[in-house]
Amino acid sequence: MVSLLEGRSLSLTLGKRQVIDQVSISLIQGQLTGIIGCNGAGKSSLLGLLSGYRQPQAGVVFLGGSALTQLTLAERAMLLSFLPQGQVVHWPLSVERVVALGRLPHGSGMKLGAEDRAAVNQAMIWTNVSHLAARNVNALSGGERGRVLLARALATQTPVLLADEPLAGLDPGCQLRLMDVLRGLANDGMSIALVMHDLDLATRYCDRLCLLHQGRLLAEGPPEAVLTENNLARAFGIKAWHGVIDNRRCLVPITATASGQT
Amino acid sequence: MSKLVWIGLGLLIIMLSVASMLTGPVSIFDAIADWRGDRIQEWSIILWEIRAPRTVLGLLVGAALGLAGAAMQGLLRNPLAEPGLLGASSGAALGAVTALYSGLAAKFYLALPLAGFCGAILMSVIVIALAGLQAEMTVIILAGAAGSALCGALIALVLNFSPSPNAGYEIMFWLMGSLADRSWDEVYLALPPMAVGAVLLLFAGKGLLAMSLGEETAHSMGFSPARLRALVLIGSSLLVGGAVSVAGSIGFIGLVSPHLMRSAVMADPRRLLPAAALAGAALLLSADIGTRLLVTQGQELKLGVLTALFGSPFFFGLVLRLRSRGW
Repeated sequence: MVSLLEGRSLSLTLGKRQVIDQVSISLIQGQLTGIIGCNGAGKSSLLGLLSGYRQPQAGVVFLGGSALTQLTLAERAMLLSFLPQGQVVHWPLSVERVVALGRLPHGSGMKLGAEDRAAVNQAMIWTNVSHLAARNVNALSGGERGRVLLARALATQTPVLLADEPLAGLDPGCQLRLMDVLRGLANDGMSIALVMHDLDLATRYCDRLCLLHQGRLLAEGPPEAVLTENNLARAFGIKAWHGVIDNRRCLVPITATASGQT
Repeated sequence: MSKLVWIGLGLLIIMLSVASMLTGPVSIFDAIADWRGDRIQEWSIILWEIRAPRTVLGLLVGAALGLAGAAMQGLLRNPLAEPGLLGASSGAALGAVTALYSGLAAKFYLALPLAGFCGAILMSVIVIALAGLQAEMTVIILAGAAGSALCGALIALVLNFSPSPNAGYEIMFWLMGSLADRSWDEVYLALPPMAVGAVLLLFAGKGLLAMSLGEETAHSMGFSPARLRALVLIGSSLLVGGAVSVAGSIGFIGLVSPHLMRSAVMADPRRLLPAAALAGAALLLSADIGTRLLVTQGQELKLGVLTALFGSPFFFGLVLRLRSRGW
């Protein structure tokens, strides 16, 4: 099992708060890893560390076999693409231009070569935004804009993808289609880590889950091993129904317990 | 579409330059009528020593302000950012006012613009050092506001202490900005810092484009936000310092030029840099031609007054547009 991105005992303190405490995580090639946890558990901070945007107080991140700090930003950008939370586009750019920004790490600016164009078109097909190509990205709905920004991240065609809540604001059909696409990309050899809140989709699509709780890694492994009754109660304060539909595991959160999220 | 914009801007600038060479208290038609006369010497002096440097300065100052404005708006991702935000303009004003007050300005030629330039750079260094290159946008804006407020207070203090009303007038006129009575020396003084600043900003273009998607995304695409801040802040300070030191305080060009061109370059912050520079050059030159046409009591209208006079209605228009459909 090849690991392209690995974080070893990462710790991060923001202000006086320890947001990540001794977390080790490794993304295996060809696998879809879900990073889950309640609000404020440290998911986005962990992605920030893995992408190199934040510096850990302790621990090391390895990307493609080298310590992240040994690589230039340009080298990192060719290996890892990162979709942060927030869906912000500061200027009224067209959808196609936003997606084309994903080719900046390849040295392509606004003039795209044939390869760039193919990558941009492919990414727009994957996230189903081709029909929006000429629209102003800020005039789109939140869900549409989210898909455009994911297309930007996919257009770079890196071996590693980190995405912070790419499903936020998407309708159920879009969520399923997007997970199918990401599953397919993982099967083709990409290493993908997604921050997600939908535990059912996490169960059905992810090879592995990392459950964060108060900045620590509470559990890690295949979904059925992570989403146990005990862990769900401790991390989310919920009880869930587990079942099998069409030979696929699924999970439905049923009740929130009063003592949750502590 | 975009090619037309470049050609249009280029033609406009050529036309304005010709107009600028033809506009002044002495009519060019007299010269033509006097073609064989003795005044040909006088004419070449008027054209080459007075109007040509003024035209070149107008283009340079306008381009510098437009370019710096586009870069600051791109860096701060805020359409209301203007090049003076870092305190360079108010620092230049303080430097110039100090030179006028202390009598240094009268000691040697170019003392005034030199003092202005030093003030601009000093103030930018203080503001950048105060904010730090890791700072968030709000911190940079606040640091600039703090620096400008201090300069404003010090300028008022100097005006209060100014010994004769004459010094006060001189200071006030400098603050209004003008390109009258400038020579090639001012061009040689302003050009080097402006050229360095422009080169720095052109290196920042791709980073500003990546910055459209926010700092984290830009970082993940290979662009260091700290390096980008350094390029833009230092580049803009040099451009504004060079511009303000020779022309005095001139508002609105840096704010308005990027707005005028944004839709023509489809909001691409990288292509906006050269476009805003050209638009700034055209705007400033037309404003300067305007000051020569609007002579009051034997004195030209001040350039800064004219740009503010036409710039503020633009602000009103911007508000109305923002209200109806967003930028």
